[in-house]
Amino acid sequence: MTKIDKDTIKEMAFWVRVRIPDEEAEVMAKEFTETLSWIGERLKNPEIQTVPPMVTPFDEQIPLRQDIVTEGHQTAAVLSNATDATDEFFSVPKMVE
Amino acid sequence: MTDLTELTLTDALKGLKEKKFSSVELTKAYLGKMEELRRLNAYITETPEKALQMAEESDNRRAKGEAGKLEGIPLGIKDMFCTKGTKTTAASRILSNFIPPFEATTTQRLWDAGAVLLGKTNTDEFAMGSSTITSYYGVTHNPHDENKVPGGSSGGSAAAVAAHMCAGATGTETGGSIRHPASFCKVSGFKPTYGRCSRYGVIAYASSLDEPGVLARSVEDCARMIEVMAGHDPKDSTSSHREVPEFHKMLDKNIKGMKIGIPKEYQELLPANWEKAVQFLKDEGAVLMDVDMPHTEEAGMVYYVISQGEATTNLARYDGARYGVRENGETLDEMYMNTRMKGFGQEVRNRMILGTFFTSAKGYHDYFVPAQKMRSLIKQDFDKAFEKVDVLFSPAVPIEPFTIEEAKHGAAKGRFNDNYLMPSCLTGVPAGCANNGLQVIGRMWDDATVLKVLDVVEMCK
Repeated sequence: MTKIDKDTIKEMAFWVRVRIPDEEAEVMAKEFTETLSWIGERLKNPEIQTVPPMVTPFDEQIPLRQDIVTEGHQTAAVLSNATDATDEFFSVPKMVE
Repeated sequence: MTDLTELTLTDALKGLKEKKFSSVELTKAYLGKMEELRRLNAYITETPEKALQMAEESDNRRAKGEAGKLEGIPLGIKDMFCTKGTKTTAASRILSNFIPPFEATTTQRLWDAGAVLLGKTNTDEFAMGSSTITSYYGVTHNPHDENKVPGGSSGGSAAAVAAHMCAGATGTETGGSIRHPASFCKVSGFKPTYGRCSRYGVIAYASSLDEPGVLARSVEDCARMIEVMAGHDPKDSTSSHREVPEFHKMLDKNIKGMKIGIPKEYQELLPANWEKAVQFLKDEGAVLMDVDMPHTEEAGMVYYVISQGEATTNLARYDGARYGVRENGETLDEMYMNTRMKGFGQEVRNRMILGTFFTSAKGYHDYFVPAQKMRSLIKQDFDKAFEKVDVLFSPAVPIEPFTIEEAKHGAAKGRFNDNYLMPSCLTGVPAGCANNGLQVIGRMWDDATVLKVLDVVEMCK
């Protein structure tokens, strides 16, 4: 059985770059452990070993595209929603000393 | 002149064609209704100036004999569709300043066919919910009872259609988000086969499930909209090359001899109009029979695992750097954290955290892939059923809309909320809900038959 503790929840929160207070993480860990236990039971169904995983409902061949620029050179449009941009670049806080 | 907002989309098209009124007049009538009923909070952004300009251009085209299929028809667009130059928020604070520099393919096709944009409708934040209560821009009220939710996530679109604040609206489904609010607001809703409508420009929630679709006051109205929106788009690799029929012309009200299956698993709770509807279809000449869909019960669990896993991936793009709201921080990580904490509501943050588990090595191996296998079994249920019958028939949501207060306390987690909707989302088959809350589900790519039967179902009041 998979047991999720508060620290795992906090670590997962960090991976998606959000914060979660200790007490909320505690509650979430407890509830998620219970949910995983229930899901685990459902997935014990031996029938699932007889079929492949279904990745998409799309039942046609998904084509590969030519590796060519179609709508390039739109720097202004690309930067139009940036909070902070310098020249042709998005600006972010300094990463390297 | 009578109230133009009383007309269905189909009747409005007829009136425009016969020059009984202009698109500007029709658009003004809808803008008036939007102002009058603003308290319902069906729209996040209203675009009256753009609407009147588009209506005027439409009238000019019609005068020149260049009328498109939806010429002059005013529509609401769910705020999950990117509209060039018009703010698009996904009902989230994180996109509260986002002005797309591009247009979704499906909405572009609506404008190319002559439709008019009235505004962007409310939704649960990133379409995650079935009550339209998680929007950063406030709750949408059900026009039939303002203390109740409109359903969701396309609740703004459903409320706007029901309250005649638009002639029709777009919606999106990931786990039932068109049919659910259609049922709660007593309007028609249709989600086509996965791959019929391009997802380009539709803000992503869970990509293997997301499907654009429509809500309107009648099935014929839905058919007219969807045949314009559908069709291959090179910008979406999961968009089909199949030809799109003129769906509205195939609604001949004839279902004589058609085999209609009623899944046993969808009969646990039935609405008051059920028996009458079954008898009605028999009287219309359809052959009704029970079918087994033994894995129905697993759909909610499979949806929980897959949608959260895919959502985590899709929502990684909101970094505060390229678009959307930014909250500053000393370091890059702090900037990300501050931005995403302030930008996303709690429901979205929670789903991302849990989705992380399903995309981690252990979660992927032990839960995500097995859930995808269970998804195959649910698909097999449909394949087997469709060997025997042409379509499936059931209630969409067999419960009455809950109050806003009940929704805030988790009413949407009840098992009858979306049990009958999720399996068809997981498998990508076309499905629709008539304005009497009854649904029809069809074979992959057989959207036409679903609409045809739904059009008859709708006659049963």
